[in-house]
Amino acid sequence: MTVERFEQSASTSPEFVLPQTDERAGTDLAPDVVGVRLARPGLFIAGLVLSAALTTGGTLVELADPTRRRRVDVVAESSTVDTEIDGALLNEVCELFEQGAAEFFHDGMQSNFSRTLLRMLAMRGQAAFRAIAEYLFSGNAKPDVVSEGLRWLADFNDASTLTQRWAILQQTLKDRSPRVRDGAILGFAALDDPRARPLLVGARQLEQIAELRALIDQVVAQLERPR
Amino acid sequence: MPRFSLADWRAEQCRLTVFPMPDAATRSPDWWEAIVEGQPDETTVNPKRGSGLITGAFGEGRLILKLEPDRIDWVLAPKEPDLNELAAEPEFVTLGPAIETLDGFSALAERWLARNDVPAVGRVAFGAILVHPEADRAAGYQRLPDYLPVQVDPASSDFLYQINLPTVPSATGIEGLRLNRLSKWTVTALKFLALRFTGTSLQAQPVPEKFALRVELDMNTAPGFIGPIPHERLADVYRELVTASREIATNGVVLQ
Repeated sequence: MTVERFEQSASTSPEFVLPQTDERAGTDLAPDVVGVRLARPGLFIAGLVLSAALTTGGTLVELADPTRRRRVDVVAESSTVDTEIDGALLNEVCELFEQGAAEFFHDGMQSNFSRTLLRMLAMRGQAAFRAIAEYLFSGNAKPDVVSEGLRWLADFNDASTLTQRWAILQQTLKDRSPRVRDGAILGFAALDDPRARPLLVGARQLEQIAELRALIDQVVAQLERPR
Repeated sequence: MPRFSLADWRAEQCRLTVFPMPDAATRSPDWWEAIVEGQPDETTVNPKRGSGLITGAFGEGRLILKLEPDRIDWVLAPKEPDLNELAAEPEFVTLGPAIETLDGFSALAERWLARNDVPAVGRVAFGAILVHPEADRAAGYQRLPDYLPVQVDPASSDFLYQINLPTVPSATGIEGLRLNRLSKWTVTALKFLALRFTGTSLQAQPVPEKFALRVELDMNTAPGFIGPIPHERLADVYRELVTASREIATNGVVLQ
């Protein structure tokens, strides 16, 4: 038996057209039927529709993935519910990093890539960092662009995203590509947080490339300076 | 309409979320087995991303441990329902009575929080989704004024009320630690469409709708706190968050 679940909404906002429903407005059967795939004959449930008013989806989402809230739900600023990665934003991130591959980056100088990246971070905050992390660890990213991106995202001065930025840098510090590791080390230099020292010392012990070991030494010295 | 007691709510989900300090990297898929004292059904780990997902049966539900670089979630959710049974006897899929479910989940949560290998935590949250089945949609709407400072015509639809009450200092006395008390209220409808496939055609069989008052609770420590929360106080903070949840589920949103 193959079952698909649907939601509908009374809302006519494009954002809500597909997955939302007004609990009164579930009389439109046709869309449900369209989505059904029949695996075998017999009685089955084609659509399990759980709805609750304007942003109804919570119940349905919990059935599908209880650890995440659907992106179209209203997310309060004080909410701690995990949200889905925004597909459109992820596409933007992919495009940005792919277009970045055509650019030539000068150390410390802004570029179209960095400007667009910073604008995206400013406008979308944590959601942007989630999408970037998703892209970076997809295995499709170009090392030079990732390296450049790491420096700029580390430099993004926002306490609420520190953990996300830190996590990205920490994971990329172990990347196969020396270019990416270089960007992660410089990213930690930009963060300038002494708590990163043990991480960098650990990374130095594993680092095979002398230039990167030297770079780590410089950053560790920077983090050790009196504040 | 008088308010019903906390015991009459049914729990649809419970969640413990911690946000580790940036330099606290410990994430262990073994936590699930250690806490539950049984084997999980499924473990997926992505070392490159530093993430993992461990799931398995726990009591009447399934327990999910989700590891991410920036957060750790323990979620207790209902098992996947048997849709044929559900069609025969429609009802909201829950974990069971709220009090028992919350107590069972809290025992587990506190056991984990007491472990020495829990990373330093900057922020902690307790979440729960509770439902109270209602006779019909109008009955759900008639309940709203008992729990929320609103007057709603029962013939209305698409109701949503979400508020984070003014933050309050934590009663644990941890300096600078404040609590968010976020709740989201709706009247939920459970709708089914059963289809009979007869060779070349589909026949829709309507199944009666079910309605419920539903609240999503998200009690959490406010992000401005310069952590970490002392490890030995984590369970105290967690209990305070659970207590705040119970208060809101019992008394509704009380504006000062």
